[in-house]
Amino acid sequence: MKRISFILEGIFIVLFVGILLWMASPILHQALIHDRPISFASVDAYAWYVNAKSIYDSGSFKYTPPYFNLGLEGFTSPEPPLFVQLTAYLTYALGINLYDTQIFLGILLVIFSILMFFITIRNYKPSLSYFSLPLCTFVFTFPFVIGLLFGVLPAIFGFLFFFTSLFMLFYTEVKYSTIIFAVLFSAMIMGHTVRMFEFIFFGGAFIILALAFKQVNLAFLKKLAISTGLALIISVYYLPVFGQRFSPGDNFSRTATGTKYLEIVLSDFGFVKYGIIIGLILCAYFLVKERKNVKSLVLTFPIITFLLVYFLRVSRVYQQTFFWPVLLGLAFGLVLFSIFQLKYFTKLRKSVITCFIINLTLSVLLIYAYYYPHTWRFSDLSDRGITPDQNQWENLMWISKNTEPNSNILFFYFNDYPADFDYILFPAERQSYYVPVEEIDLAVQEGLMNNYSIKKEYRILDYSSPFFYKRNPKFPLKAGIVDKKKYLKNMSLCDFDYVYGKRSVYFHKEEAYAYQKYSNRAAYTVDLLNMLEKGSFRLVYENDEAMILKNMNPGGACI
Amino acid sequence: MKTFFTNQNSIKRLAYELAVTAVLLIVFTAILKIVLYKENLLTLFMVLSKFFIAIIIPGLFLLSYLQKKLDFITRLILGIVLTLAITSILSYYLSITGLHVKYHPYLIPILIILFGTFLFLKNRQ
Repeated sequence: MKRISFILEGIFIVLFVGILLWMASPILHQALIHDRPISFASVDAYAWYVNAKSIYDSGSFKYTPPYFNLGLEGFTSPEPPLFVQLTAYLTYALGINLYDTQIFLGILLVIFSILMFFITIRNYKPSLSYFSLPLCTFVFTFPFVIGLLFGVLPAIFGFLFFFTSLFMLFYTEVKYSTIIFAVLFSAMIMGHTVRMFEFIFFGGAFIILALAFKQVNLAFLKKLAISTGLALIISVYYLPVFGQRFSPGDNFSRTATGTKYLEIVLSDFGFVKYGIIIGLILCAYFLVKERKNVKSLVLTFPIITFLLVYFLRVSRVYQQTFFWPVLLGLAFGLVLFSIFQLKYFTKLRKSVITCFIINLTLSVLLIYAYYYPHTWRFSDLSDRGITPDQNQWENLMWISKNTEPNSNILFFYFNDYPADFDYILFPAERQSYYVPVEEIDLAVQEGLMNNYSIKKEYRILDYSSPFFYKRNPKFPLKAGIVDKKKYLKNMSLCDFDYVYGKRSVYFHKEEAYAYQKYSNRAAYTVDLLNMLEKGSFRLVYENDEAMILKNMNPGGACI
Repeated sequence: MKTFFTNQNSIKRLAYELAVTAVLLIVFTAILKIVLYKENLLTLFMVLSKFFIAIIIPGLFLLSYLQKKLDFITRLILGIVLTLAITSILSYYLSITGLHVKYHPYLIPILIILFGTFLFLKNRQ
């Protein structure tokens, strides 16, 4: 019997993972290897890509590459290192493109997180774990999937260890659990420190209730304290740099808003939200009813996530909502579980196969209702967003391979997004500068009013990392912030080794209103580059998208 | 096959678990071919094989000492997560000490497998 049950459960899990992979496949455009990054719908995705690429090239996360910091060396990044380190590692291990590894790894981390929470619930009641899975399909529906598409990947990485730490709370008697906890805590601290902060709430609630119900003793607390100490020792090299992010002026503690996708609420579950609300009440009921069973404390987790997000939506805590389908899936599953406890279902609830069939049927229904009608959004976000098209990507790659490593480049006009800094130019791996699109629009207006004249002076901004952090050379465990302003210098067109200019604009129906404006920018850029070519600049590369000119006399009179 | 369902730490059981893992590799290659239908089958198999070698098999060895305590599914999933954590932490510190990340895939899985084997032998009854 045990054997049959094991095989059935194994088949069921494999089938469910298959469903999740199918749901995630539009993110990958149904392929593993691509010619350019896909589904990089936000700045963050590029941030992790360029950081991982720097590890891939230099071999370590010790220093940032010079093009991050105005061509200067010796700076260090305060970003959590583990996700990018793992991406670089797996890129070598798997032998695929780094950007492909990044997005594939993101999907796998989400699936592993679901499985981890599944076995946590399974430890309490196996049938409840099967009923909790259907809601997990929401992880790959909008808006919950946005964490993946917007590239909030270290957060997802941190969640995997957060879920595993929750699981381990029920297995503290396992041999070497102190070390396992230490590794998991350390992975949370260096993977995404906010997750450790959140774990304090979840673990804290667990401990308080376990103490109240007399389910744990002091040895349990001692074990957790030793693990935390060990985790801090393991993370000692990263923590001093991370600590600088709390200094005045850094935006770390901001609350992320500004896009509808990040403001996930319970209503995003549609009619299922009523099931979740009833489930949350049932969680409280079962907690009291089964207070003598320490495993029932798993029911605190949906309640804590709900309260945490609704009443303490500070800093990155909102990211919990990306995994609401997993955490609140337990509450939803508890409703189904309770229904099957009714005497009418006595025979049905004893059959494992029935549980699997109910789960899969419900999953298919939820997918049909909430996933299928919105699949167009995947291509909408991943094809547009700030993902470069094939030509733009090839141009950035051409620069990285064909220009001198210490050369500086002016991206006069690259794309139409008015972002101050979005990491998208960093794949060129050169010290970069740019002209804000508003400045180009102003020049176009002035040109139209002055007989199509071309300006020679522009407001040129540096394209560098917001982080200018340095470790103390004598004592690397001490770090500080360097004032970026003292390295900034005024740049003019003639100071650059290369100038990049976008020459063509593609018509998008959604952006038809701005097509004329974009065309004017491109036409003006071509005129400017033609003017530069008459001076000391020479055309070295062109395609349908853009032209790249090289300055034969940098710093001299070029026009 | 019977060994697989007994609660004991044994090499025979570990061998069965490795065989099941090999079956999982084939099954997931097939699943990936269905969902990522634009990709070449051989590419999918190669990438997945490397992922199994880098993460899943070391994870299985790492927790083999808990055969008696945790069932296969739990150990498989927990092993993957722990391997991801250990690999990223080890890789981070190894690279800081000067060993280029490109050499790590040849080193870290072997280290984890050896460590897992050591724990397994130490806790074998």
